[in-house]
Amino acid sequence: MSTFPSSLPPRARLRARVAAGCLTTALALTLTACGGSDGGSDDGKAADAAPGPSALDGAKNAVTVTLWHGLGGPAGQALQNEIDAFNKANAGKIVVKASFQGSYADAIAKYTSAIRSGGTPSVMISNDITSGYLRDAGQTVSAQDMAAANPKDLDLDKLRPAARNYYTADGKLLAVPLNTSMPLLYVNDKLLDRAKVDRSTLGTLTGVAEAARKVHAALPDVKGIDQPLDGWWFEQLTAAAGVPYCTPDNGRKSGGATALSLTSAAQRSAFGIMAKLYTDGVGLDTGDDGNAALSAFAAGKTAMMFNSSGAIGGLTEAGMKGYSALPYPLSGSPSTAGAAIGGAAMWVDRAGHSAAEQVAGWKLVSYLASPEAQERFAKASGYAPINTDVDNSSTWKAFLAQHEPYAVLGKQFADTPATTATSGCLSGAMPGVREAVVPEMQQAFSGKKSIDSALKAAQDAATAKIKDYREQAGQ
Amino acid sequence: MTRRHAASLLRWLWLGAVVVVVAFPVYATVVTALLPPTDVAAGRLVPRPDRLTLDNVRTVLGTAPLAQQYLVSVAVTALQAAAQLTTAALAAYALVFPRWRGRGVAFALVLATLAFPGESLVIPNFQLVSGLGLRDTVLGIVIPYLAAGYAVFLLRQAFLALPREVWEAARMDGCGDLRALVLVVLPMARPQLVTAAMWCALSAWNGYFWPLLITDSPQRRTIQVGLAQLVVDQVTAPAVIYAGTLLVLLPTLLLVLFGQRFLVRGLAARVTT
Repeated sequence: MSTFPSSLPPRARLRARVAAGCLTTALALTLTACGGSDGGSDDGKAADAAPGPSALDGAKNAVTVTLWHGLGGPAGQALQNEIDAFNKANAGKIVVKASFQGSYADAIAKYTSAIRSGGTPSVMISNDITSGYLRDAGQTVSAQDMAAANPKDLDLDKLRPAARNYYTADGKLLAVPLNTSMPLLYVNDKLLDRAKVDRSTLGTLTGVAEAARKVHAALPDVKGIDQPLDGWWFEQLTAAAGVPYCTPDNGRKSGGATALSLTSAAQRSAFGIMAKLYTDGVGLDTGDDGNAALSAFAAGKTAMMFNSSGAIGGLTEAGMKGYSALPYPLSGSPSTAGAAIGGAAMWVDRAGHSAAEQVAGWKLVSYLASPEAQERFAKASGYAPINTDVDNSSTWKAFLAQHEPYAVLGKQFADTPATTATSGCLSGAMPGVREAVVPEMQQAFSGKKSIDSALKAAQDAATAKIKDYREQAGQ
Repeated sequence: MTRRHAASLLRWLWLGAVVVVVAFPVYATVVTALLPPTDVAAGRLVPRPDRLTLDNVRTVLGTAPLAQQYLVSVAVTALQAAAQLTTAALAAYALVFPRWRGRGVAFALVLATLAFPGESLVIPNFQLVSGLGLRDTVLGIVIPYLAAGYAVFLLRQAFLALPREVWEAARMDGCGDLRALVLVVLPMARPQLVTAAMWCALSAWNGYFWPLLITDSPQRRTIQVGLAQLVVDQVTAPAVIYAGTLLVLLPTLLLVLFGQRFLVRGLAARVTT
């Protein structure tokens, strides 16, 4: 999710950047070390066959499962509650020890260190953009294999297609999503009514841009729109245009991503529309901080806002009433275009972990992805449930009836087509790609650089990052 | 107004501006930590004395592992600073007083360690400490930092400024190297010794990334790691976060307030040497 890192205070964000730098430095060494081993079941790279239920049945003592995560606040507490319930239900058989590891960037840096010393956790919860790296590190067993070997546990067909799509490569599900967010359009109802904006036009990016101009023209003290200018949003504009962010095929096929794409006609058009709003003074520049964008919207400084679904909770805390959440607008064809998800997924580690531990870890993953746990977790944390069976729950339906924005989020999540464009870019270089893209885009949005030269510069810098990464990883 | 008065006025204005810039974050932290959450939400930064409260501090201390993490930080700081000071004093003594071939090269190597960013050493350190079986222990947090190049540099410069004759006289009177260091050299370099001790203590107290990496259990983590979690957990209660920050800041503030005499003198002595 994009709001997580940007909601951190400056000091923590500096730490996150340091950790990201550390991770980049460590990548070459780690991936080279991983690549050098073709491994057995307990050592080196993951082998093919996943362990089944008999591995856990044969364990003499209770199996300890360690879990690392970067979830704090209500989501962290909700996760701990679920783990406590799991431990109670599996007393004497499985003991889960969960440990908060700082931000997602801190957690993945620690994981990278642990690979080299063989001390990875049994289950790692890591955020969306680390998926490519975790796949390349080769420490984990795929969710697809674990599900096939343990048919009585999680049924992968119950996972929401858009979320499943994000964590799939070569047709194989790598990890099971736990917490999922999506981008949404938030509108201030009163301001839109005063400017006489027709809501039915807000389904497309051009419609939103026209509405933003209309608001600013009718109410000069109010800006039309704001959004956090961080990396997630340029990925969203691309997915909503229906084109891949990295080529070929968003890195989903064998061989992986080799370059970033930012200069396709569809992207040029979508990025250009947004950048022009900012250079014309219709958009409000609140920097890369999701909370700053939220505060400006809550204070009525802008009539509309693009923000993560995580902002629903923030708007409630800010005491904002009289707003609506709408689906993220598209600029491409609805059959291929849509929003990409954010959030984090659960990876089961194999290298250095016994078969019993892997199966116990999979039982935990299955429990956390079950409809009951997902419903409780979603209610407490504000993330969208990833298990489609939650839709049939009467208590969930009652919850959605009382919380309209979550119903919009749920509908968008269910309606998003599982296509190459909406799967987002899968590359181990994604943290570096964001670092390369954001400054260029910020210059384009502030008018310091033309959109074409910024897109070209960002594309070149990010492609160089992908090439460096591939070289270091021996791909 | 004479030119001298104008210059003096400008200097005071400049000093005033610097003081405001430096002191405001500290002031905001202290005030926010001691105000009720409603006042914080209203953006009140000038407190009414009758509304000051210790509730936020109590909430922080009531958050399960934070008090324990405070003790871990105290232990880490004491161990690490004492070890760094000891190794630095021994190394600086060896680099300054006895004459031996290659001590210039040895000092250059010590200085070279300052050029490595700490993050690049994280993975080898992680492997070493895990290999020693010290993961998730206080000793594991401390062990890669038993020596610090900067402290060696600071004390070497201090020792160079001391009159060599005093050391020679002590040696001629039959004083051994260790006694000469403890009884003759260190007492003469007290200001710089205090400066080095403060630097070592502050860097140990403020450590974040390494303690986070090498520990897993909440009760074995340092207060800086606990504070990071507090920030995420209490994102809707800034007053509680500030109260936590105040508790973490307090030892640093006290150290600087009481030690500033030595800090300034020690650093100035290093510069002028």
